[in-house]
Amino acid sequence: MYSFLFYLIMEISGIIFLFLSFSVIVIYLFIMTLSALEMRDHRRKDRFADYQDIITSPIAPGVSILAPAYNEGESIVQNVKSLLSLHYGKFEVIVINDGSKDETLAKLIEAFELELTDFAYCEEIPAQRVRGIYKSKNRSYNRLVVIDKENGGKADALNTGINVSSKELLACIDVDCILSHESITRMVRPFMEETNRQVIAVGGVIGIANNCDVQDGTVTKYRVPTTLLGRFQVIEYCRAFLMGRMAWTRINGLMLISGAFGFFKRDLVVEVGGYFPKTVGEDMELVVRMRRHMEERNIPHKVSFVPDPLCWTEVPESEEVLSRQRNRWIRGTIETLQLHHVIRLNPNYGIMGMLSYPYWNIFEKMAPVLELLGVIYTITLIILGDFSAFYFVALFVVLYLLSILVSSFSILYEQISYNNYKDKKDLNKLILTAFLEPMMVHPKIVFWGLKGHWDFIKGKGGWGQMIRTGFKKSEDKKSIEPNKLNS
Amino acid sequence: MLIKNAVTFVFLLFLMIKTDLVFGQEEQFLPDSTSFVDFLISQEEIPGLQFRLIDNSGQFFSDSTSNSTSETGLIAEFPTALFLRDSLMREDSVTREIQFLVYEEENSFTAVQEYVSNLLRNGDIEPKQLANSTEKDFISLATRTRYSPFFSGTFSYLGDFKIFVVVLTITLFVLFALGMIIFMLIFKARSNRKEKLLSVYDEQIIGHLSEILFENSQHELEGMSDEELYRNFPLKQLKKPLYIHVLVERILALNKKMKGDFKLKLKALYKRLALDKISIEKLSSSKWDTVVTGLVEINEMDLTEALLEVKKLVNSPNFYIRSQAVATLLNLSESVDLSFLRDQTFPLSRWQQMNYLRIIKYLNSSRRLNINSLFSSHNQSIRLFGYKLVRILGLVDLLAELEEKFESSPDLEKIEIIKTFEYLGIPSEIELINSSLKSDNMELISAAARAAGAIGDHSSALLIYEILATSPGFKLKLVLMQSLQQLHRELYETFIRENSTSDIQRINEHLLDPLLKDV
Repeated sequence: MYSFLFYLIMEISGIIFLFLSFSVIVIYLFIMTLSALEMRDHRRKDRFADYQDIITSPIAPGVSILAPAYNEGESIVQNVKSLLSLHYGKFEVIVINDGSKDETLAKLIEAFELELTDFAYCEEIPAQRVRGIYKSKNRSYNRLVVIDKENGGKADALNTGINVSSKELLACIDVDCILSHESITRMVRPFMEETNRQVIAVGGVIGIANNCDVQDGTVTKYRVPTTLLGRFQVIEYCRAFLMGRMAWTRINGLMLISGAFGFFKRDLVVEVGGYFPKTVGEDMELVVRMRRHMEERNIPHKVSFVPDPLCWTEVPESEEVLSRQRNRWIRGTIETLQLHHVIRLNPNYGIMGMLSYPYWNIFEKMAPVLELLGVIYTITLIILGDFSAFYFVALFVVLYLLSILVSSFSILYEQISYNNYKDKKDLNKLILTAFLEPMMVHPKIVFWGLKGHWDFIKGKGGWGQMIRTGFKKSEDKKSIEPNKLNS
Repeated sequence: MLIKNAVTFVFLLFLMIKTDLVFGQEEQFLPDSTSFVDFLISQEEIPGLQFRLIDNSGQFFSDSTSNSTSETGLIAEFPTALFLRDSLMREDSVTREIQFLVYEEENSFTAVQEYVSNLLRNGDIEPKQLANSTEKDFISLATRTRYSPFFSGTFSYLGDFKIFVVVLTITLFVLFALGMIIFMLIFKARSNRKEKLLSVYDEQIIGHLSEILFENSQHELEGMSDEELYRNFPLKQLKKPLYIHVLVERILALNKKMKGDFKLKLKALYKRLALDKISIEKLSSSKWDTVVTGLVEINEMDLTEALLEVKKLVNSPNFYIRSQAVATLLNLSESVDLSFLRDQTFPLSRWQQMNYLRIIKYLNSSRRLNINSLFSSHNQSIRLFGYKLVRILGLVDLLAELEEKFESSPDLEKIEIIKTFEYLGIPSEIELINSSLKSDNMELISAAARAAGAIGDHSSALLIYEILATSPGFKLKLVLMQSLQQLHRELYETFIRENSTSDIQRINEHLLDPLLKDV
């Protein structure tokens, strides 16, 4: 009886893996095609766009740039100066000092001649206590607002920034990101082009600045990072931004906007209750909640994406830091999907419910677990003697090549679209990385992903029992009392 | 991250597919009963398989002399069972059947057939006929053995449906990916070639273009002979689309920079080279970007003869076509009455508004545009744009029309009109603003309160004071108090004295802080 059950499970597992494999292949074909079409359209549209008008036009929307800072004393002054020099007419820079233990605030006060104001702070979204709001007495820094608050994490800091912001659009960024001078004008365009459906958020590409030359807030000379992990992330970012997100944008199924560089409609963010501070994936969670809110009210909407290189950041090149980042990403994904499980395969939520959510659930959240199961399945077959060495080698080679093909395609994609890596040596290094990645980097990524799952189960960085069941409605987050959240 | 996981996932998954088992389970040995019986006779004893003779009453036959177990009647060899059955039939004329037992459990003929097939497939038994056969039996053996080609269909991947699907899918994927990469490589090679050609053509064109513009007058250009023209711009080159593209781009770029006579010369040359016809032809293209390119060229080169064609595109479902068509019409029409814009059915985006505003701002000083016609549009976004134009262009002569429309307008339009009154500083409209302060719509009250702060009077101050007494929300309270402070200082201070709540004190401090004047 047990023997029969065992073999039955093995057979069913084989069929499931077979089905999943076919799904992945089909999804790949679609992603490659859709992203190519979207990129073609974007480049065509861009030919006719004149961005000079937006800078001074009275019709252009105002933008509040929100930059949370925690222990950024070493670079904060330079970063804020860079933000203040962006080319746009109506914008303000709100730096939120999230209870830094270093000299972040002191350096800001000194460099920008800040003074404590009597700002009438209105807590539209609950957040940690604000100690003070500073403005500069120097008119040159009139656009700058600095908030000093008690530590509460990135999402909490952003919520405080939203409460203080006064413009129509919010640009949520990492303070250490390098923004191109024309980043605002380009990111604002999708909001301004909206006609029949509301553009609720716009995401941008994050470029990798490691080993690159930066001048006046823009990357002037691109070079690939010196380490394998750094180069792997260049390829990964190309695949994620230029292929994945472009494809999801094409079908209006984008569920994630990078927390390092995303634009949102302020009134809608406030309406849904702002960022959820109890998840480590606050960027994805907010986008999903905003989309749910719109779907539940049958309001036509879109989450747009601008594939131009406008923002750069330094990626971690040490295993220790990268593992923490990946651990956090997977926990953020699990938390968000669990919170919004009600949209899973729910036709009322359109593309998001029927395609985006299942995709994220199976191919992002469960990917490390399924890969582990796959390994266990293979080992079991070897032990049982049902394992075919011939097929193993043949399929291994085919799929190894396949992985390389996709990576090469994404590198080529970058070359055709932007041609940032002009040095042939850099290109060769990237191609070599594509060959090494499946063997040398991917197993580690899977392991860190599994560790993220384990940490989630243990409750690390999770949330209380009460909200594990998920939000019934997109705005239910607002009803969760802050003190309960903190318990 | 998205794609990475998926690729490697497939990579691992495919390693795990247990394909050989699927293949083995479905091959049939000894498919018919005759060959099976023949096999049992020739094979004699098969492990686990036994036989028993059973009569009509269900009694089994047992006899120690017949090589069967005396108590159970089990016989190990099929030929013995057959021989015994026939012998007994001759002796007592009782019909007995052979019962099949697999590991002493009764089984059907089909089940036994499957059991023996499995033994054969797994190589647990060796067919005796092969071992015993001699050269003389080859032909008879061949007739009894089913035909099976030596390479089993030459390619085992295609021999099974599931394997076939797997191989087909992988092959298709690899072909698709290779196809895409080859396409990209060709695309890149072509674009590199194009870039080189562009710079070559650019060098060829710019010299001749400067020469022809500096050495000829507008009339000379218009009457230039073909020979002379082709000397500068060879006919052979003029047939190449890329050359034409560079030529048009160059002329357009110069046209943007130049003024006066040079502009006229460039336009004359554009027509002399028949580039205007190429631009107009683009309007009938099926590709939207080609149409927009044509519209841009018509706009830049003032090709007024194309206006009728352009007008047809004003209501195009493509955002970029209709945007550019409207911009072109605005620029080129001698008598722009904006009726084509008024009648547009698609909502006007802010991007379009921004572009049209730039053109209208430029044209407003030289032409009569009838901006007020926009107020009667059936499209709300067009009406709102009209109000914004009044505000931004400072068209105070149209304020009376706005005043008339105010009462019948929805709140969204009222807000826009109030902003216009506020921006232009028209105190005569205070009645409308005061009436809006009594609205139930918080956004309208907020806009009216802001306007009242700038252009209101004593009655506005009293109204604001009354609203403040109803304890509105924090944001509205801030706007109301700010307006009251601007309008009536004494009343404001009275309000502060009479209301010492935390919110009001904080707002008061905020409003008194000189650093927060613009916040």
